Amino acid sequence: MNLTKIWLIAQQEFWSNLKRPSFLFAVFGTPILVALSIGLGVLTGSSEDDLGAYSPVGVLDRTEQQIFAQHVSPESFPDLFVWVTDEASAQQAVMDGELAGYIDFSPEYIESGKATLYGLRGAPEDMFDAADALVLANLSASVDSTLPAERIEKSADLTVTVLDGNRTFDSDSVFFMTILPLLFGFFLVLASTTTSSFLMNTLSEEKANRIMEILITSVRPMELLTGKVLGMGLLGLLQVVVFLVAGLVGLSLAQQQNFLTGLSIPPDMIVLALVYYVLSYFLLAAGLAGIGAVSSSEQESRQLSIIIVLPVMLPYMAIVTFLLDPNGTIPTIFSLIPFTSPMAVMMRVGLTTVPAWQIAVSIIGLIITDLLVLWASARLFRWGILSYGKTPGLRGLWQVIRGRGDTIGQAPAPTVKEVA
Amino acid sequence: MTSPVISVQNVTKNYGNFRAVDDLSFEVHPGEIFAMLGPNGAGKSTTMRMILDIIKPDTGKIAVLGGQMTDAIKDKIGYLPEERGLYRGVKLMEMMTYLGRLKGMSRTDANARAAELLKYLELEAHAKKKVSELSKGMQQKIQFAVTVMHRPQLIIVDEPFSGLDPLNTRILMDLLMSLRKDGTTIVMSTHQMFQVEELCERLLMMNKGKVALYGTVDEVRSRYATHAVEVEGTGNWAGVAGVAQADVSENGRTAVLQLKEGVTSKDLLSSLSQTPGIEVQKFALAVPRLNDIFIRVVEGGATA
Repeated sequence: MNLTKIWLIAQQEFWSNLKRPSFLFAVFGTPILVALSIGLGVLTGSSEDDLGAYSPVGVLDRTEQQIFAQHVSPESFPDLFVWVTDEASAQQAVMDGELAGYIDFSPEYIESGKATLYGLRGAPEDMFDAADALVLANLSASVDSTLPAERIEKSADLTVTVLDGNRTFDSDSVFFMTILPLLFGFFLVLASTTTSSFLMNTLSEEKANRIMEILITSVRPMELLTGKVLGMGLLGLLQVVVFLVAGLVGLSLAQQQNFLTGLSIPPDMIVLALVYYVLSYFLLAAGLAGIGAVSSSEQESRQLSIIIVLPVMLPYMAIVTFLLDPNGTIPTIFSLIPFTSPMAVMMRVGLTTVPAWQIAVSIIGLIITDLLVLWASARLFRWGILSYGKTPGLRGLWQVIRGRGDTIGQAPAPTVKEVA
Repeated sequence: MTSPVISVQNVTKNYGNFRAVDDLSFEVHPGEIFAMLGPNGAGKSTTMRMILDIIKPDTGKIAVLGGQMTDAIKDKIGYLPEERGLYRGVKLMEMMTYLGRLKGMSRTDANARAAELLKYLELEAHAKKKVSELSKGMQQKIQFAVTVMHRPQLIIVDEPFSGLDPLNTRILMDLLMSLRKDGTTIVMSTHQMFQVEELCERLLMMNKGKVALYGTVDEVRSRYATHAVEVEGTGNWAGVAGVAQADVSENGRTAVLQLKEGVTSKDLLSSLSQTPGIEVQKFALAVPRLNDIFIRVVEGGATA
């Protein structure tokens, strides 16, 4: 392998695609559109989450005055709350799924008004109203006149903390709490599909306009494939970095305006996002490069690309399942299957604590799948880049992958006519 | 004798049940312009691709520039495929520099060479334009320029003049001739026989994957020479003594006169001068055009 030529091809792919209007739109336009849609979401106050699925919630009363001693449930949320006696059993109940979460009213609550809701995932927006109603109902039943009046005026300044200790949300952030993981998953897959689709399109174009013949008399097919995958991968990485920086800058700006002050993006999510980007990119890039090489036109390659892109996007279609029960069967299965795992895991880590073994299995599975797809794609690529005419069906492709497809034009694919 | 630039020995290539190239052998000598001829589907492009190591032969041996294909040898070859292709959305200079660098040139050298070629091809004003903004003829010239960017020792061009007007054809023919003068070996496939007669020293004519004719242009033409004379002028050619048959052209100005057995061209010249009503403006031995030989070979299904 000639590394100089590979690097030259990577540079050319990077710069020539960076100037494409469609890429610039994907990098800068999409975040703007998403930001606008979120803004609209905030304004309309919409929340797709349901308090019914977030029940019961424990109440841990550690206040000196024992303000919840009467165990009064608010009228508007009669069955939501249960009373717990100590922190350890409350945490265990959450871990065991007996409680959706528990609100810790610490001894400082009377002075500060700050209470913390602990759970395995963020709470729905109605939870904040429910906490207010809980405090008011119990204060009304209390006869203690020493309580400050602010506690009636502003009952509970609730902070939601996910039990792994990394994510906290206040009432302003709750909309973002649900949308953030979805955005993470969405942008991650958007970055890898954008760049790998560009890769596929340039390959189809080079094949269709026959410049491929000139290229492969200058470089080996594998050098060409490697350079292209590398260049486009770097471009996608730039896209991910732009998304992350834009997100962090946007968050910082919002927090300067005392908005979303309780929201933070933990470093482990960023590291995972980069790991899953790289793994999902190689999966998509290798798969789509193979498709680009065997297709006879850009249009046909776009149609065939659904075979690869659809499974990757599948978790997004099950979004409601993820929101309602991020540790449920479907989200867990999606997290373990290599094609669906990048988006599934990234959506879940924002919503809940994903068991480490599931992350490990998904990453190992992805690495193995990446290698298999790269191997198969390299065979298709070497064979396909100079085959014109009808694209072979799945059976033909399988023959190329299995057969003597390591040399251009030598693979046994009877449905393909090579230009003589 | 110097070793050949290209040596093809007993090469066969099949696509499924179709034999594209059948036991083909030939050599290309250093510094010559070598023509590869044959009807569509004769196996010319497949042979070129095998020489370039794009595809592998099923059997046989191919040596290029002294050995089997390596990356270093690839960098010494320029290839113009039959079906042209360029990056349509990329500026000329950028594209030429990129493709030159893929052939091992430095950025500075590639830039300088691209500028030199654009000037030669009278395209320097378009250096910053995208390929898609150029006319088809201009794109053809750029394609040619890309082929010779890196000053290759061997140039393989498939139908280099197709689609070009006579003026641009002349410009590229002159470029080819100047490259040959500098010692470059050129292998050319074409359907334009007059170009072969004008440019090439030797030729290989293929038919159905096999060698139909192989040798110098003069040898091939003399092999197909008939006992005839070509004349230009007026008169009743058939009535001249010694003429067996007169094939008069459509416009009546020229004729090919087949001679009777035992009659020489000198005898005929004498007869013509003595025959009343005959006016001769041009008299030459009839050497068959390559075009006629090509048609005879293809129609006759001949192979060597």
